[in-house]
Amino acid sequence: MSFGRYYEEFETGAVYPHWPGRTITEHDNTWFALLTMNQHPLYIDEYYARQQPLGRRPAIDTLVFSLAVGMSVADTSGKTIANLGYESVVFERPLFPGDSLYAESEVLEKRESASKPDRGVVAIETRAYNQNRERVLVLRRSFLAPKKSSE
Amino acid sequence: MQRRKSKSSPVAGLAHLVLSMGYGRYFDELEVGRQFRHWPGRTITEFDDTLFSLMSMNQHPVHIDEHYAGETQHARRLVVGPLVISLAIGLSQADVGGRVLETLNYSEIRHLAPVFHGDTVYAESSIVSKQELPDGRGIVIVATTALNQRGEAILSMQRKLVIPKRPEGEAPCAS
Repeated sequence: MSFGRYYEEFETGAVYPHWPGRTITEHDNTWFALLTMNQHPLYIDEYYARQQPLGRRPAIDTLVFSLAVGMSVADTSGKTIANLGYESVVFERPLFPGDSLYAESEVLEKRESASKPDRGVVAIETRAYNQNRERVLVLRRSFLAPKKSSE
Repeated sequence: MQRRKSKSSPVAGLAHLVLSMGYGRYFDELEVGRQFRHWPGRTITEFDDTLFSLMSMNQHPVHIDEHYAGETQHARRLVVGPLVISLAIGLSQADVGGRVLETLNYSEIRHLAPVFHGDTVYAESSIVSKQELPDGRGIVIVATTALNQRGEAILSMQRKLVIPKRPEGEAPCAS
């Protein structure tokens, strides 16, 4: 029944490595782009992409972002009451179909809710890497975590 | 068999093709302060949400377990946040991001209201700032707001994009 963490179980400065990682396939990329109505030819037209600076289709940014968040949930926000938002999502290098994505999260800060005693705000930084341990993305988000003592 | 002659000249036909090939805008075509109401919108189905959650490895039960979600604040499943974000970006591409070379970052992403199955997402964007680079490209910051079918804001965010200037000789965007 362990999925995510209660407020008490977050420790500022702790780093949680997420497992498993995920290889992004060409199918994932095309399908994800079209499902989210993103028809930028860079992601769905190989001939167009070959003439662009990267020379081929990169993984679409929204997919890399969504996966980094998804991978982090079981170790971090899996019991969350509400996801408050993201301070920043920085893309540091491109990822391509065939590459794998791995992620880890660090607890930046935790504080009790001012109005509701049964919960607290947790801020984390999630870092995603490719199979060569090159950093691809860094994001910071905060969410409301319930207290175990309030169950 | 004789080929039917076109009334328009070959040049006019080509110009039409270039205009119709527009998807997104060049750096020159995005003026600071300009606003866009994107069209069309998109209804998020239960299928979309379950598929998106699992495909992005997000197994939070509030998105995929109706009985668990029934015991939570809104008493039903919530649409997974990255789907709303990805859709807001996708909806904006034809107007603003369709020529982007690189996405540098997203910032100030706020989920302003919950989104449920059956809700329809619409999006609006405005150009916040522009900075020209020396190599024929520029950096543009775009603010996008997503709204539901009642016009309530559900998401706001910004993104920082690298966009090329229009190549010399290429026809400007139709609008």
